[in-house]
Amino acid sequence: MMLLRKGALLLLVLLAMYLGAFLLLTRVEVGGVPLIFRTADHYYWKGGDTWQRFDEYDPARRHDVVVMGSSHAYRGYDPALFAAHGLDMFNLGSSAQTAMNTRYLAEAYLHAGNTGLLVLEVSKSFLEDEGLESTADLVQNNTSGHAARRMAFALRDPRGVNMLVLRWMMQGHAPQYLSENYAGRGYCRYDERNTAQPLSGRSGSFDPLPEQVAQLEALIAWAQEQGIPLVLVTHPIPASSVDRARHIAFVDFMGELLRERGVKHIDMGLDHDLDDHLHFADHSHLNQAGVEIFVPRLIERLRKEGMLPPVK
Amino acid sequence: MLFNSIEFAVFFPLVALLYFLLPHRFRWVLLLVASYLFYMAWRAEYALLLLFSTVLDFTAARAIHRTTEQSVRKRWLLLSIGMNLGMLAGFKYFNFANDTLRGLFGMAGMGYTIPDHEMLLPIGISFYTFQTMSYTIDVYRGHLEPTRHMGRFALFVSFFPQLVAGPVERAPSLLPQFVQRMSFDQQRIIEGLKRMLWGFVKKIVIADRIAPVVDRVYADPTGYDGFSILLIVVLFSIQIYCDFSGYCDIAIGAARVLGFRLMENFRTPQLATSIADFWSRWHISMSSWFRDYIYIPLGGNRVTTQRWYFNLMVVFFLSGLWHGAGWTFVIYGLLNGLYMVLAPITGGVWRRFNAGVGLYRVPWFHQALMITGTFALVTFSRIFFRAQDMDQVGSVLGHLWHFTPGMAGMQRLIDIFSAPVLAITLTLAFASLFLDHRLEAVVRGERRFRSAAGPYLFHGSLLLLLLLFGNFGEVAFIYFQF
Repeated sequence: MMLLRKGALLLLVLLAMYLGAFLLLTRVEVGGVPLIFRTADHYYWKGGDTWQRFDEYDPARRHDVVVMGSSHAYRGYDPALFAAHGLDMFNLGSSAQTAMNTRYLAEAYLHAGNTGLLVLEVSKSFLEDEGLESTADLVQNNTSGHAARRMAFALRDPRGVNMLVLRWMMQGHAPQYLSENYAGRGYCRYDERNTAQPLSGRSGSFDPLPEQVAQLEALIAWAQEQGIPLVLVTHPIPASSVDRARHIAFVDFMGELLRERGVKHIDMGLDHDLDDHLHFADHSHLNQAGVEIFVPRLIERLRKEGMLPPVK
Repeated sequence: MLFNSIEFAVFFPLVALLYFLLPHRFRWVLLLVASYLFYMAWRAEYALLLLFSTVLDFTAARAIHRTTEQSVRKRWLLLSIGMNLGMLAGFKYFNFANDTLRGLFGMAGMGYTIPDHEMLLPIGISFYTFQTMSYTIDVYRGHLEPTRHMGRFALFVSFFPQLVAGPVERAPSLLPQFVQRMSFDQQRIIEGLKRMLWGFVKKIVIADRIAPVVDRVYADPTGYDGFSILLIVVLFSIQIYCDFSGYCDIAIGAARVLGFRLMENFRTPQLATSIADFWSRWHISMSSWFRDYIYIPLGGNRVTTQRWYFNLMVVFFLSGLWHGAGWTFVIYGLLNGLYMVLAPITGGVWRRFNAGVGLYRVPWFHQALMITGTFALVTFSRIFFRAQDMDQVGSVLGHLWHFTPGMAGMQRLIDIFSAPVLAITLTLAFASLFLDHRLEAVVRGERRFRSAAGPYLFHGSLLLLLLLFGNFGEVAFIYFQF
């Protein structure tokens, strides 16, 4: 009994201290920034393109195409270019989104009635990262509390709980900042040209996390059950930054995973003629000039594959 | 299974609950099964090595005890030591020896075609082989009667709290505890839980927050200035202490919850006033193993001065090699051996110097200098311990002297980790360096609180630190690799 009594008392003290500390850290500001954001990298500010994206997204409205995935998605798929081809598109990509994050977002926001085609922009980190960065961003900035809780608990450690408490404490607050690159419909436009040095330190191996692979499998199963057509795409990568062996290992892995599930992976990572300097913003992302070449090619490819309705 | 994983957070309470629910006679079975499950969570097939080591030493010890014929006893002892060291050599040292031979053959212009093996080093192999060897040696020396209970012996080898990174227990201390009836003593359980909490704080809040900063700089030391490198070298010293002593605190605490008492492995090594003092406070179970089974059999210090120095160098060479198969570890060991040898050689000079400048008249300042000097020497040797290879050692040492005025040199670190996050990490790290022994005394109950609310506020604060500042990325313990 003593053990239980002392344990319960300690938990009560801890709860009071925990909430008190959070209240203090979110209310006391230094240099205009609440202290909480200075304590660790996994506390995200409320606002930015993720907040703007989910604030704008209306699940009641139907889109011909919804794109999801990491920054490659929200910086690489311009809705205006889809519109020019007669397609209504919304971009639900967000920073470092992993299979786990995409799954919980898709299940919270999408259904056959509002999504004509789900395009998953996938890169190696989609299956290799545990999802901390993306979860921190999405727990703070997406509008679905259910999705936020699922992502936070999927991390399986107290940081997820802290993120949820922060989300709760920041509710009702106006966004702390807005992204200047946000161009609407989930898309962020970047015009700068790549001046980064080619990346070194290639590992040559692709090491997906089993948990993320299971999440992708669950996402595919869910989309098929819902009747949402799904395609996985990898957008172009600058030739000077690509680790070919790793990329091939990734594509082979995806091919094997998707073949038996009847899902296609369109890999345009190496299959392009884009210029590293003119068409990329950095060692990984397309710039607007690159997007304007890539997107029409992708649409043509999707139409050829019969995944998009013919030109109206 | 890592202590800092969600799996252990489920595993341990479940094992503890079942342990106290079961009748005494079945408890060893539960602990044995739990220990093997704990080990197999990493790689199931490597549990066979654990089993092999157990059967080998159980059989060898029984055989040694059964006969009085010295040659037979010796043969069994050599078989046990040979097989254990052979296993260790095969998994841990084969590639190192192979690389060295390849290099030598290459220098001589000769071909060398024996390939490296690609087997993973079994976690904890350096710990459990040394633990079982000490058992057989103790039986051979007549210091210990071998157990007849193979199950309890298997538990002695595999007891999960200390299986993968120590403390390296001795049979006379741990084996009898498996026979004792452990009661559900709430006071003891609270004591164990507090110790575990303290270990988790040291590991998850301090060591694991330091780890990414140290890793980043060691990955490319050439990109940082001398001040950053100096900071990182010191931070690694704090990281390894908090990592390893944190592990031991969790191990000792977990064992305490179940009723067992493991040996203390650290005694505030950051307060050591000499290298000899440091090694009597750091990784005590392994230092005493080397003392009892290598240093003293070699003659210890009861030999000629030259032979004593030789004995010290041999012990520290082996200690370095025990840590890892690489020249950096060998140099780490030899460097510490050299410190030990130089201490008596230069002792007279230091004493005269201290007396001459009047240091003995200000004892607290003298002691502070001794502590700082010892910490600096140990920290320097750890550059070799942490570096992946000698090239990295060269880069770290080469850039240690490139100082940039002002904060400019720190800018790259600040850009990567942000100034506030770096400041919190540094605050926690240096606070642990100076406050650790005081806080540990509170955790161990050696310091009392004045008010009834004190323990709740103190342990609540530790939990709060863990929840708010912990890096829960399941970073493996440094000593797991040994």
